[in-house]
Amino acid sequence: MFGYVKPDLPYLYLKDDRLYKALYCGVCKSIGNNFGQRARLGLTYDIAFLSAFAHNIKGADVEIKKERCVAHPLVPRFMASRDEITEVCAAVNVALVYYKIKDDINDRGRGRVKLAFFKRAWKKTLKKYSAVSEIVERNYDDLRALERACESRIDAVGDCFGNMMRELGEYVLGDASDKNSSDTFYFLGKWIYLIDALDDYEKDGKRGEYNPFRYAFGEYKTLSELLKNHGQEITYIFGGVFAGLKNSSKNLKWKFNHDLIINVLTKGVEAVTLDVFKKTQKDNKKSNGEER
Amino acid sequence: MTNDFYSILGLNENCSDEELENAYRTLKEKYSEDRFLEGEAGNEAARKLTEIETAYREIISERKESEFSSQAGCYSDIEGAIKRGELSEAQKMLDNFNERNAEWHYLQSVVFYKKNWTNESKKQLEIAMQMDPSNQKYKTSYDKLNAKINSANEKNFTDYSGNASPRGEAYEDADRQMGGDGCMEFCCQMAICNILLNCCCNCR
Repeated sequence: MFGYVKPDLPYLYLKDDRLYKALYCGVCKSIGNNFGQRARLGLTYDIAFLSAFAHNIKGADVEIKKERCVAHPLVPRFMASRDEITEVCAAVNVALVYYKIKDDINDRGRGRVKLAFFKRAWKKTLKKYSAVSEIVERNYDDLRALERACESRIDAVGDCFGNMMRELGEYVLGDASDKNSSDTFYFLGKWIYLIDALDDYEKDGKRGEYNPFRYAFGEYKTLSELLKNHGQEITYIFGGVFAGLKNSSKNLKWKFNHDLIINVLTKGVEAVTLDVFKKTQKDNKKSNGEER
Repeated sequence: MTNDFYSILGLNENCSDEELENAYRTLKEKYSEDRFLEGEAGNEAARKLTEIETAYREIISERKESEFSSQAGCYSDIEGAIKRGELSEAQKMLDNFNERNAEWHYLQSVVFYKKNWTNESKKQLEIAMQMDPSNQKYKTSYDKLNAKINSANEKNFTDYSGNASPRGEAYEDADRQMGGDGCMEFCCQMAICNILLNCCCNCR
C-alpha cells in the first residue's frame, strides 16, 4: 500500500529532488518530535508528496536549511521547516501505518508485534488529530465489509480507498480544499489500492486472500496470464483513473511551482503502473527463453 | 368515457389484466356466434361485437400508456435527483425498480459516471446499447466516455495486454529521447544509487 506514489525519476528536476527529500526529512522530524521516535520508521515518500501538495495548495512556504538528525548525525542535510501542515501530515502517516498493520492482522493474523511497536505513536495522534483516525478506521471498515462479501466490481472496492484519501485530503487542506483537489485525492487513493492489488495478484492467489482482480476476472496462476486474457479491460480501468487524475489536477489552484506534484500525478503514476506490467513482461521473456 | 368501456365488458375499473382478457374472450365468442342469427338479433350481435372490440382495445392502450408514463415519470424523478447531485437518492430510486429496461441501465450508467466509477458506467452503457441498439443517445454517451479517457491518455498510454513498449518509444518523432531506454534506465540507476548512498554513507 505504501511506496507506490513517487515521481518519475528521469523527469524529476534536481530542484524538485531536493525539495522532495527535504520535505521527507521535515515530516520525519515532525513525527519524532510529536509522536515518538519509533513511528519514524513507518515514514515513506508518499507522505512527502502529501506534504508538498498541502503546502502548495495552502500557500504555505517551507524554509529549507541544513540540519542533522538521529539517522544522519554526522553530515547535515537539507530539511524543511516544521509547521502545522507538516504535523498533520505526520499524524496522517502514523494513522495510515497503524491501520494498515491492523488490516494485515485481520487478513493474515500476523503483525501484532509491529502493531504494538506503533501503538504508542498512534495513541498520541488521538489527542489532537482524532478525526484522522476516525476517517481511516471508518473507510477500512467499509473496505473490509466489501472484501468479506467478495465484491467483484473493481470500481466499488477502489471507491473505499479513494474515499479515504478524499476525506484525508479535505481534512489536511481545510478551507483550501475544492472539488478538484478532492477528486485528485479520490483518484490517487483508488489508484494506490488498484496498483497494490495488481502487484499482489499472484501472492493473494497463493494465499487464498481477497483480491479484487481475482473476483472480477478469474484466477490465473501468473499476472501475465491475467493480462493476456483481460488486458484490455484492465487497461481501461487504469486509463479511467489516469484520465480522472489528469482532468482534476489540471484545474488545481496552485500557489507555488507545481512541477514536482504534476510529475507524480501524471508521469509517476503511469510509470509505476507500467513497471508492474513490465515486471510480467520480464517473466514472459524468461519463460520463453529470450532473455539470457 | 373509460367507464363506458368497462361497463360494456361488464367489468370493474380496477379489474386485473387477466379478468379483462377472460371477459373479452367470453363476450367475443358469444357475440360471434350470435352474429349469424336471423334478423334484428344478428345485427344487434354484430354491433355489440364491434363495441366490445373497441372497448377492449381502448382499455389495453390506456393501461399501457399509464404504465409507461408512470415509469417515465419515475425516470424523470431520477434524472432530477442526478442533476441536483443527490446520487445516493437516485441510486435508491433505481434499486426500487423491478423492471430494468435499456433506459434503466442508461440512468444507472449516468449515476456510476458521476461517482467516477468509469468501468461500471461503461458496462451499464454497453448493456443499454445491447437492449436498444437503435438509440442514438446511448451511442453518443458511450463515444463521449471513451473519448474522454482516450484523449487524456494519448501520449504515454500503451496497450498493457502484453505489448507495452519501453517508455522512450511512445512519443512522436521529434520528441524521442536520444539514446532511448538506455538513458532512462541509466538515469534511474544513477538516481537509485544516489538515494542508497545517501542513506548509507552520508555522501551529500
